Amino acid sequence: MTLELTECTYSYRRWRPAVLQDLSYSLPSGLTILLGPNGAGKTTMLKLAAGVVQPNNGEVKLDSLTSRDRRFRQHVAWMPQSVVAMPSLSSREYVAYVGWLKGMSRQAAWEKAAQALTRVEMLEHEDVKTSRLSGGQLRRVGVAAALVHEAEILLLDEPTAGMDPRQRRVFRDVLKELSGEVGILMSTHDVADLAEESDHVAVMQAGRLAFAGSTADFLAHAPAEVAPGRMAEAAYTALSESYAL
Amino acid sequence: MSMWWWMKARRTHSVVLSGLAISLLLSLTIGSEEVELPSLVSGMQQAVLTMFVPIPLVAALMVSLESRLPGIEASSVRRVGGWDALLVSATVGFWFALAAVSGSGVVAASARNAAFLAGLMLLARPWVGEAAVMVPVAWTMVVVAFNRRPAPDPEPWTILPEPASAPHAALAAAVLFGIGISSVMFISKDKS
Amino acid sequence: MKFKTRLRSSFAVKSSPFLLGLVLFYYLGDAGPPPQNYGHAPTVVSFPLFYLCAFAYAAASALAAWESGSIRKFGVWHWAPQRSRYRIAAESLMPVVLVSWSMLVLPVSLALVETSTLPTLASLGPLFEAMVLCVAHAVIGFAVGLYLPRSVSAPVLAVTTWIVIAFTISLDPPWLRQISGLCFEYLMFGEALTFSALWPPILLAGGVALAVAVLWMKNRFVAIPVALAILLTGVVVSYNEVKDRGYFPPMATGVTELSCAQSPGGTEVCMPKVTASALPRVARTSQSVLADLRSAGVERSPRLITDSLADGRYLRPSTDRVWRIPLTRAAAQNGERFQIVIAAVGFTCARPDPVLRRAVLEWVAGVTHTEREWQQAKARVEQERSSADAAATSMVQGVHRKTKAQQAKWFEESVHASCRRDG
Repeated sequence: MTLELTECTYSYRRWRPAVLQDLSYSLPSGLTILLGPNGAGKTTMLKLAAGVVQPNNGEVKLDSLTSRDRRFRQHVAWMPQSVVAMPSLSSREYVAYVGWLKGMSRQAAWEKAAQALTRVEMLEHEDVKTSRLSGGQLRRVGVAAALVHEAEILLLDEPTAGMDPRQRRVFRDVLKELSGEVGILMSTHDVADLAEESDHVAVMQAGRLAFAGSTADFLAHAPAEVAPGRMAEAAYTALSESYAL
Repeated sequence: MSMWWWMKARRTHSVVLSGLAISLLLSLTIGSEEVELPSLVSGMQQAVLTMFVPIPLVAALMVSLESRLPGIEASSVRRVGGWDALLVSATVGFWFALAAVSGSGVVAASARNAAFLAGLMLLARPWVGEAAVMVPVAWTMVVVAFNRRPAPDPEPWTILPEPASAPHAALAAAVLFGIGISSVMFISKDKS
Repeated sequence: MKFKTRLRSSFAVKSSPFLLGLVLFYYLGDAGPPPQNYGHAPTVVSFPLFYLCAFAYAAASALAAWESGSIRKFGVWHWAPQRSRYRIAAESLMPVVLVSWSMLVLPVSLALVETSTLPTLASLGPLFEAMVLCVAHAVIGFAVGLYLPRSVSAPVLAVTTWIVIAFTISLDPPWLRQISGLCFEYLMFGEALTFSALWPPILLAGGVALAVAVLWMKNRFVAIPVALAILLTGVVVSYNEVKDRGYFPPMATGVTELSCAQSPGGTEVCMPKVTASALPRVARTSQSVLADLRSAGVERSPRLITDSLADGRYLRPSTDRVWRIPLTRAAAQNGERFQIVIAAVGFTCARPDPVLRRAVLEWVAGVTHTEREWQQAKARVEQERSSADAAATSMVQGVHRKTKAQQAKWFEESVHASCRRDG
């Protein structure tokens, strides 16, 4: 399935300046990293893609389904930037609840929740109330909630924030495993996420796409003399500066 | 039950039931009492407590509705807004049922007031969010301040001090409650 | 946080247009200065406070609960702040206290300006008391907001505080209203609340607030006993102070500046300075009345004739040497002569023989040339008696239509209410 944003414009309040301006983007298969400075519109773009909000102009489509169609949401998984703890729900209940919200049956949601928690190494905490989890643990539960209903499109807003290096490694392995099957769009501030695993890169700047292409094309923007381990960072900096000019 | 997790997320068994129980208890015990409060127009005026007893329930409903996963629920396949509307309706409906069973005019007036104040709160919620819980309180203050006629014949616009048999008050409560429920069902509350 | 930012981000400030708007409406409606205030600062200050202080306490506790809940919700306590928690709490409560104080200061200021009255220290006592209680209620509200969701604590505290405090005016025993912090209804001319009227509510609410604040200390072994001690002290001491009080708090009377004139006969005539424009006339009239009585062989030589207006609600009896007469009210209707005559008669009991009483007054009216006023007074009494009879008959007819239980309830309540009206 192909997710496409076509000339999308969005502002949170009609009288405020648009956060996104005539944005058009087609999400390729594999893992796409979404970069950009704070306030560039990354989260808004992800929300539009998830159908959480609707564009003021333009449209978001998944094959023939528009984001206003309820069936659209069944195929798109969304992990927000801020994962809210629910004092009354355990980790497994939380993930199962999200699965149920996404149209799964109760039994399927319950079973798949355990599998999703296993993938993010949180099964041992399945009975712990989410309000008692640490920040990093809660984010992993949020990732599990995004994985539970096995959507074709996965939209993740800074999923690795608060995770330690080992947890990041586990998370990247999960993404690597999935990227062959689903389209993943993941925003991050950690350029290291980019360097190792991604297939594509999109860079946002001031509500517009400054770059969208393969990782190799992105890294080609880095100056030649930069050390291999710092190429991603250098490429991003170079792109940011050229766009600003 | 398939929406068990939704009920747990909304804390129906703890928060909503507690709020309902407290309000019902107040309605049954002190609902018919009156208290003297300063009014703009007559020094002190008797204010019936049926005006105030729904406040704990209304507050509990706000806590419940705000106990959610913003963003995720906004992209949900399930009609969560409908379930929320059902929760509010069932809670207020239970109060009406109790009023019918008890045959008490005081309980019936309290139930009507609960519907009115809940509707008022839900109407304000899309604009001011959680702070909408103070709108019912503000309304009671306005009623006490500006009502020129004491119970059982207050000014028609006040709604809350009217007896259970007042048809215009029942209509106003039904209309406001209906509009409030609609806002729960149809207005997106993404705050992710 | 900058002060401006603190204000801008505060829910209390956002609520202030509604709250202060309601206060203004109250003031313009019924809570403005009472008509016969004679520029007496304690009266001018107390009247609007009576309507608004319970409202201000409710606002303080509700807004504080909201701010507390907001701090908790936004995770401020998890940021391991370097500043003390008390400092953070105090700064978050500052806008709340300012708004609740505004709800009190605004109508009082308007009343003082409207009546061109300068406040006195004695007059501001109730205002200061109410402001302190706003702080106490804010602290209590903040504490409640630490534990309950703000959506619950704020509205419930608003309504509960408002009702509980305002309701004490209807409750028995009467001391409840003296400890609740409910502002006293109406200070008459010459009255002012004493310090002993002001401190019990401050001690009670302040004790609760302080106990609650102490409980927040990290050392529980110290915090709990200290808090309990403070709470018990506040409750016990304030209760002991008020338990034997009636419906009215302790007041000083005669709290007003007097202007006096000495008549040639040696009698001093005094009236409050604010109403003393008629003093020369009243002094001449008193001299004339005494002269008329002397001519008729009745010797009366009071040392002092003073206006009873400054005595407030508890009129002090006249003595042979000091006559206490409602001179201001009488002078406003040109009736001071007759009032001086009545004082000169000086009946020694509360209910003299009605026939003798009438005969004495008729005779003295003759010798002092106040027959017209005496006839008018007689006619008024007759008219009031028949009006009162008609009103009472109509009321009883309405009562007879109620159920037996309702009639009994009306009887008990009316016995009580008639004495309350009478003070």
